[in-house]
Amino acid sequence: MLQLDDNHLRQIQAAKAGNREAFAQLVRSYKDFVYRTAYAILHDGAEAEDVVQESFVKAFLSLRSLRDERAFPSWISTIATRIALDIVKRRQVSWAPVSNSERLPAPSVNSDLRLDMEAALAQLSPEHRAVLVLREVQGFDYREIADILGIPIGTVRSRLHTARMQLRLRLLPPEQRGEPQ
Amino acid sequence: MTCEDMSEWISAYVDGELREAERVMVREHLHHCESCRELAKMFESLSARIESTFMDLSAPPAVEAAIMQQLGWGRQATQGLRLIWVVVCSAALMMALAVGGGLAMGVGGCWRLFRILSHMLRGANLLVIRTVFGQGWLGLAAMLLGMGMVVICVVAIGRVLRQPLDSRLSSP
Repeated sequence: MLQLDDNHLRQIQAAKAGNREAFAQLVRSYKDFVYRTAYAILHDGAEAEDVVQESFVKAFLSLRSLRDERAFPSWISTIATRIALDIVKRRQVSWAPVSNSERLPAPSVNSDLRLDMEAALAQLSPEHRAVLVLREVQGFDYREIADILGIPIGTVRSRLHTARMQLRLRLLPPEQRGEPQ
Repeated sequence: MTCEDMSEWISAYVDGELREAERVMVREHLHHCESCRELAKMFESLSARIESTFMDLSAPPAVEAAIMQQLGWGRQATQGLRLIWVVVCSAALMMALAVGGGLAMGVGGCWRLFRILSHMLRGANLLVIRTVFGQGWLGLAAMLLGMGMVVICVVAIGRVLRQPLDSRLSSP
């Protein structure tokens, strides 16, 4: 997870006081963090970009309501995750993998493995994908994930387990899954 | 507890999310069960693989400017603000020139009028008036006032035009 250092804390405090430059610095520091969450949930670069924009605009408008500055990473993740899940619900997205031409250019060197993983993740339900992304990509603990998604810790644990078991199955070659090739 | 029942516990064990007693129980089970050890390794490698899949992703560079634009702090908004300042300063400059010119003309006219009057009223004691207006102080004061306002306006316009766009973001 992105570490919250003293510099970030000062920026958050300054941004809460209305300092625009401090908020611009926060955007610079956290945009990739938010983008990764949104992209992993939505599996679409353009929509993930929209989520990043909307998340930071909402964050700026409600920054004064953030009491504990140290909670900023989970707070901004909560905003982004909820927006991303709302998009999933609103647009009734089909979770079949999108075509390569629609994808954001992947910066990863090992793009085959990356595309396999994205395709496998895309077949999970949005709820399972969200819990997996918050744990594995952003490194939140179960309590934080429960707070972000507004679900009990026990549900986080069972969803993570189910997501991992399903993902494991999806990553197997088709012949081992018992599916036609 | 069967291996199937144990699976969810192992997932939480890999995440370090079990209480001490639960952790001991799972560790004991893993010690004796090879298939569950394999499952634990699979969970660990899956975590590493998911992390490496997404950790090198970064947001498109344009997203930052788009956020600033949505918040009304974008380049276009800043240019608009700059234009307003230039218009205001230019208007003040024109006003200064008009006031300065008007005062200079007015004082000059008054001076000529008094000279005419003093010729017409020869003998009248206009020494005080002539002393005050004859030195051209008011004309000088009007000119200095106009020049001062012009300098202030020119400096203000210069500052507005020289100020980098990004520094405007720091002003609340």
